[in-house]
Amino acid sequence: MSFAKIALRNIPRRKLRNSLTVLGIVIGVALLVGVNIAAESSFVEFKNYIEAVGGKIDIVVTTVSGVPFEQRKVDASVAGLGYAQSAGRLGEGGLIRHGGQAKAVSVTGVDTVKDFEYRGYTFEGSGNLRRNDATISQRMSEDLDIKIGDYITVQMARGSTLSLHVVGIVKAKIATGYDVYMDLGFAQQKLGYVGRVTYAIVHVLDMSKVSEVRRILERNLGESYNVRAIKEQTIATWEGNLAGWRQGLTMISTVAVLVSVGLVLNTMYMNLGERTYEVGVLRAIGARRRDIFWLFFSETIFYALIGIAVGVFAGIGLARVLYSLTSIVSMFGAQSTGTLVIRPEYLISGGITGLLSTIIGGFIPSVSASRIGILNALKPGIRPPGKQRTAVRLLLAGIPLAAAGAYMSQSGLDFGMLDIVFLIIGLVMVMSGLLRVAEPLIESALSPFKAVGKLLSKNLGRNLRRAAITYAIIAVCVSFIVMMGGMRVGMMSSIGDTITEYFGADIIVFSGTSLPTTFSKSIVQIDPARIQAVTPAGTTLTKSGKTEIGIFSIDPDTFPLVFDRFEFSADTPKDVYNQLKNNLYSILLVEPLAQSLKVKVGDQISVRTPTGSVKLTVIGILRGFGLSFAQMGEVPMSQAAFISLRTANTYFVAPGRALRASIFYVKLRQSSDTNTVKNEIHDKYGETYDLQMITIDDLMTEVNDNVGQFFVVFDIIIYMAVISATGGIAATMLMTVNERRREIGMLRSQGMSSAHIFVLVLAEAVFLGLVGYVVGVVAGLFLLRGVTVLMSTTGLIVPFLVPWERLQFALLLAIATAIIGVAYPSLKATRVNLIEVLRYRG
Amino acid sequence: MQSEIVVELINVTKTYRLGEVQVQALRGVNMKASRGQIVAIMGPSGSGKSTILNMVGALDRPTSGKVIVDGRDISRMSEDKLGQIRRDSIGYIFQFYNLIPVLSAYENVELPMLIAGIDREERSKRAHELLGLVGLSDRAHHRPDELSGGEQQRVAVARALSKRPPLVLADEPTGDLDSKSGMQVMTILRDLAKKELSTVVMVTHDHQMASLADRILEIRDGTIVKETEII
Repeated sequence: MSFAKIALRNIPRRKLRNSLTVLGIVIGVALLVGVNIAAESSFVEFKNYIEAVGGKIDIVVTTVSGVPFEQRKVDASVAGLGYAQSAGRLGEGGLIRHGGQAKAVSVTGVDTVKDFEYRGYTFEGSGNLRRNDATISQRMSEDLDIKIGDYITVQMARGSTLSLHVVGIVKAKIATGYDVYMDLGFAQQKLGYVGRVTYAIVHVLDMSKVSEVRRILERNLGESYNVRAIKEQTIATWEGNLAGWRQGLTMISTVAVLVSVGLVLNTMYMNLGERTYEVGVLRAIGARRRDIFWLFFSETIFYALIGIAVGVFAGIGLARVLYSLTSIVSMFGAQSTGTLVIRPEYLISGGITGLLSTIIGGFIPSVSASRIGILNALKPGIRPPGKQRTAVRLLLAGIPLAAAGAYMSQSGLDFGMLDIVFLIIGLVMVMSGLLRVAEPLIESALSPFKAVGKLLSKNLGRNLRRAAITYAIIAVCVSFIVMMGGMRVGMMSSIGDTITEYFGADIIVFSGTSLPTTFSKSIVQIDPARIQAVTPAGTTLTKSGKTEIGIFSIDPDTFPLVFDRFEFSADTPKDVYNQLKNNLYSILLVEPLAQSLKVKVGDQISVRTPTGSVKLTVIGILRGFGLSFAQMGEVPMSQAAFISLRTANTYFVAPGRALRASIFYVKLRQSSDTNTVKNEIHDKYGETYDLQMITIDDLMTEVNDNVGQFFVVFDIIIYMAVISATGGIAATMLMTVNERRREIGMLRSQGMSSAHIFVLVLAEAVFLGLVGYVVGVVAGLFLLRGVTVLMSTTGLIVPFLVPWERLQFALLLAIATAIIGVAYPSLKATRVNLIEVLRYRG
Repeated sequence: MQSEIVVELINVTKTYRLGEVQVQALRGVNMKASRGQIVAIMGPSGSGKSTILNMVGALDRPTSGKVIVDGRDISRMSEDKLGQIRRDSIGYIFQFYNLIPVLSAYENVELPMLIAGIDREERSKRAHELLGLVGLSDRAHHRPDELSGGEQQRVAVARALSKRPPLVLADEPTGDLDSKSGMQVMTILRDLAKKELSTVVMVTHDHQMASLADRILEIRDGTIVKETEII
């Protein structure tokens, strides 16, 4: 038998209190374990998805200008390596009319002998392609009712017409678009690109050598070519995104960990308070101070062990929920398998964090227990009253601590848990000090409530440490609610501003295939009364030196009619669009690109073209805070440049090919109904050109939903911490009621009703909630400021906006938490047996 | 026959500070107790009887004077050494909440021996022996909340004597019991102490209980005013 045994047996003594404490630990551990498992599972599933979608295609080679190139160049580089194979494809858009329907299709010429990807497809019918043969995608077959043996006619973008015999249907595992495959040689002949392909695909047999092959191809092919390891790049991009996401989730989960520290601290102090006499007896019969320390500390360890064991299992269950909300593949429209990837290190790290947080919470009370004087412990009558911490002491201690926390959180350097701890503890001490000062005021404010008010005002100053820990627990939760609310509001505002600034159009029309730029006039003709202007945008990728540039080819006449809110640098001339229109050698750069190229207005840059390169003069620099994370199509805005359609036609389009656009921006006249025009466009051209349309409202809704979903996971985590905090209040008030049983008995014997007792206890808990709320709001606003500063250092500008709705919600939550937590203790207080407690010798 | 002196207080004073006020709880107390003797200390509330017990029990130190327990002057000993004295030489019985509520009667009796580092076999033998002597062998595995007040105090007596201490201190050991249970407990304490040759110093308000002692010391205002030998 040992002190650990005594500790273990003490755990069931206060079942409800100890259960609530262990619940807090369980929640903290479960969140940490669940977040990590969910994130890892999501990423592994995504990797598998990319492998499935990408098939055997590890690298894709294209020219920078998009012009078809000689396949042998790629084959030569790959042939020398024993572990890679290549194939060329010739792709072009077209239009098919079949069975009364017209659809835009993607036509791809493939070498059925060498194309490893095509050979891996499953076919209904035959996959072999002779001159006029074609295989089509399953979706195309179903939607257009095309069967094996049918003949189809495809109007190609460059004008030629192909008449093809359908010999097979491609059974794809992943949903595809409208695809037509034909013999490569025949396609090259019909489209006038003998010996050329629009892109080459490379499969690397040894996955670990993909990067090496990519580098070899880049070196051999030169800067005119884009060599992309698609799968590797996509996975690397998402791995980076997910790391940031996981870090954010883990940080938010610390709120539950902090709450559990507070719960353990409070519970251990309450246990100590109840068992002070027992400590005296043990010391009197010879127990050493360290024996007492280990008696209490062992209890803490047992809480930890139970909490960790349950928490780990709960975390695995929670991971399923979080996984369903954070699945990457579902963002791509695929069905998530829901298979969890459980790595031991996540379970261990969750367990260690749970153990550490419990140890932190239990250490100081255990030390306090070991330091109790024997006489004071044995003789409650001579026990000195608790240390009276005066207002001055509290303020003197709290202000520097709060200031340090505020300063650290604003510096944006290393925003973390220490800032939060200092800030919360400091503010709690300051608030406690202010409440001490305000005691007479509080008493006077509560005096209308007579006996209940008088008692409440006196009780509020009792047991400061217990009250302060409870404020802190609530404050931590509220501060995170405020911080996350502010971030959401700020992000929505930032994204909203970007959308309205840079997507000045009311409707954005995307075509499944590139269309002539004159299509913009066709759109205006649909409803000129409502449609003010339509401007096309073509996109092409090129390079200046080694810097990739996304070129937007625009119509300088109509572009400013739609995008009328762009801001330019001070040295950009006022007639920039005229210059763009009249000068074939002019280019507009966005600010980040200009900085990256180290050029200013008036400088020249050399830009690659299909036939070589051209020197263009920078006539303007475009500014805006949204440039850092906005995209137009696949091109990040931070690498965008604008040229006129004429310039594009002259330098960036292969001879014989007219510049085409796949995006059309539609600006409506004032008070025109967006949905009416959207429907009109769809009715006229939607099916023919496979148009997708999005209005600004749709965009804002989609962004709102995406941002909302992003924050749902954070909200779940915070609410779980709130559950812990509710448990903390319940445990605190249960202890309070237990301690004051005799007092309650006396009040009842003096005539106070049960209802008054109920209100007294309830009011005390609500007061705790309100104080915690005020501290939490102040801390939350500081933390929000800190987070926005930190984000700005990464280039993401999120304005500091006070989330007023969230503040109201947090207030209701703080009060609700207090009321729910105190419901049972209040009820218990009304059921105190008068005779029993008045006879009780405490 | 000169018996060995187990406890001796020589001109002991004790002053407490309560806020601004200084309270002299003991004013030059002299007392002795021999091995195997039962000494009762009586006096009104606040007279200093519990303070004497605290001095003798190594729970507190005198302001001046000497306290000698089992041949050792404990007046100026460090807290660690006092703890040693409590472990090795003193058994305690309190008025209430004597027992550790989560331990059984057997485990409560065993506890001081465990603290003192006595081996398991010896502990077990001694604990069973003592529980038999106090008439609670069949209740060895019951917890305090399953025992009556009198039974709990009997367990406390057994525990106090478990290490065979030369000195047993009892602070109102029957204060919370009815007279029949109280007499039962006192009788057991007396008989066991005589058997084990332990000196018992007890504080009591109860004359009937005090009559079981060998000597009664009356204390008033921090001084022993009367000493009575019981024949």
